[in-house]
Amino acid sequence: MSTSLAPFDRICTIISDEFNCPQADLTLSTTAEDVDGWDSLAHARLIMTIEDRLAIRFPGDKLFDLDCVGDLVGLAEEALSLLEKSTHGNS
Amino acid sequence: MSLLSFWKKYDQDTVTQRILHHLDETPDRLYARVHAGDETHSISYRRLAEGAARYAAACQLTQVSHGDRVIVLCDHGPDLLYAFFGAMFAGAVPTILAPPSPRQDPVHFWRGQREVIDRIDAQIVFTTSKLKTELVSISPDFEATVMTPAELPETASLPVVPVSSQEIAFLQHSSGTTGTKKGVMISHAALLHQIDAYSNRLSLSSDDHIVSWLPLYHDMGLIACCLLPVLTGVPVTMISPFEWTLRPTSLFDLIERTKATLVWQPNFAFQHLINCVRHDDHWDLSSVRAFIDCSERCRPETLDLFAKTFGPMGIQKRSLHTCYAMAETVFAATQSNLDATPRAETIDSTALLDEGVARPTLETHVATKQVLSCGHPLDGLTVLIMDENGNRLPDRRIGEVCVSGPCLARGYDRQPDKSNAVFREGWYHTRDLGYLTNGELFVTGRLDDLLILNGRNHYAHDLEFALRDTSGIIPGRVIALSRYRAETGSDALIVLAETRENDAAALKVIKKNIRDRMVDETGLVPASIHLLPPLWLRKSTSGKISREATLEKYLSPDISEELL
Repeated sequence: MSTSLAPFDRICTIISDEFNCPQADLTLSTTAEDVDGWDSLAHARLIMTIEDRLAIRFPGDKLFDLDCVGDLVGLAEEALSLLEKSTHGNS
Repeated sequence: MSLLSFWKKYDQDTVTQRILHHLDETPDRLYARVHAGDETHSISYRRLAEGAARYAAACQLTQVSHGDRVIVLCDHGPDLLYAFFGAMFAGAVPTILAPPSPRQDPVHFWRGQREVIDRIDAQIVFTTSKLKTELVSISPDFEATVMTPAELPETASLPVVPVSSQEIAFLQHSSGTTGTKKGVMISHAALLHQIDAYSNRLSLSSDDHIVSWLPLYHDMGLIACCLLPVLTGVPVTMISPFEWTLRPTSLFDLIERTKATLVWQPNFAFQHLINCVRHDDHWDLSSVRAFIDCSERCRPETLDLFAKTFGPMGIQKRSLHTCYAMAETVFAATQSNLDATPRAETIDSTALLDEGVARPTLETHVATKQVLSCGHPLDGLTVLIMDENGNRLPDRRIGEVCVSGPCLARGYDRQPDKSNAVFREGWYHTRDLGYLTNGELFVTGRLDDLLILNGRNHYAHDLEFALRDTSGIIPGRVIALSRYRAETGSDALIVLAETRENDAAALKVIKKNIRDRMVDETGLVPASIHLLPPLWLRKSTSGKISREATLEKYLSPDISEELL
């Protein structure tokens, strides 16, 4: 999985804020089960917060296949890349 | 209406007869629009009969006899409906069980389900190919026929096995894990009385349209959003609970698209919608004449915030309603009047605790509690408040809420002791605490250790049992509690466990063990896990760990530093 540091760091900051957990404990392989309070309802709020802070929209069908922080970062990178392409296309 | 005339009215009236009536009169009328993944299935009565025919034929091919049990264990989609109704048309008694959540370990899921499945003693299990593979590999000795949609016989002919209205129509399984799951036996007569009385209370009409994300293994989803529509001809649009959880505002997309008029959901769902809406989002929600809060304590502050948040989108305070419902009374026992806003009372919380009286007081009083009315009983049902000796209590006295009438279930399937404990002399003893005033019901708490988390019932001792041999904790020294969290609109699960371990890394591993075990065994994710030194948990005078005393200690302000 290719990941740049920026989305990983930003997503970890958001997770840390949402669940009040140490950011240093979060890795690409961290799963929801590793974090207190990260249930399915909290996951929905997290997705929305990430979308708002990164100014992206995750494709709805892929939200069902996220297993770990790395998957979330990968999906955010995809969305950011699409956004960048569409911005360049329009300029 | 006398009891005798009631039985006479429903003598020849059954679920299947009523569906056949709709099939004869309006075969192409929409019953349900089911959104599943990228697909949308529009199911008319004709399509329902065709889909159910294959499942009914499968029952007959496998020698399922009149009254035999059939388990339906399917994901959200049209086959869930076809299997349920197909089994009923074949004269069998279907029951819908919850499939595993995506995060549940299959081995733990099937181990937890096995006792329930064995108790049901079904002749056939309708399920998906994935779940069949798991079941057969984990339980090679499983004797019932397990059938997937691909294995069903091809037929469009719907067999109709005559049944009487007094027979069991289906089993409604309560939530919880192995020990506490109960199959509530619902007769055709009890169900039809509920449907007629509830339709009347809601003034259902051909202009209505229901939208739902509720799972059909839960009574609110099955009765209000599956059986009520099919039996009254009011169409329903369904999305999967899983999809709704991730994108809760998809419910609003559907409301706007279908001009829906009725929505049922538990209190936490109102809060989840509030939490997941953006400031620039907008939907036209003005078509909804009733959002009905049900299945966990209705919180006035949640409904106030919902009205405030979605007021600009057409939601009015008087379109937010309350209902007191449970599978043991088929569904609704009481429902607020749709013509008015449910009444909220401010009561003196000291008098509530010390005297067992709901005394109205001013909001400026030093200790108050806001309680929301759940409305009046449905026609034919009686709701009373009783003390521990079964004596009727006067208005405003707190006691156990008890319900009587023709909607009562027959008890719990193959669990006579559990049935006799709560179904006594024609009354269902709910274990809920509340009071009446002028026939209006207000629910204030629980008599037992039931935890209601996101609208589903879980017994604390059942959750503690799931953690019984978790590595690192002292055996028997674990307790499950719940605390209301305004930010989620529901109670959150808290686990307190004693350990002899001090090392930080080891404590982290123990917490993970607890979390993994809870998710695997119950599908629940604890909001907080605290590890404590030996003898931290408080005991009662009988020597058992006291939930009440431990909760009191947990909540005391000077204790937070002791919590790990």
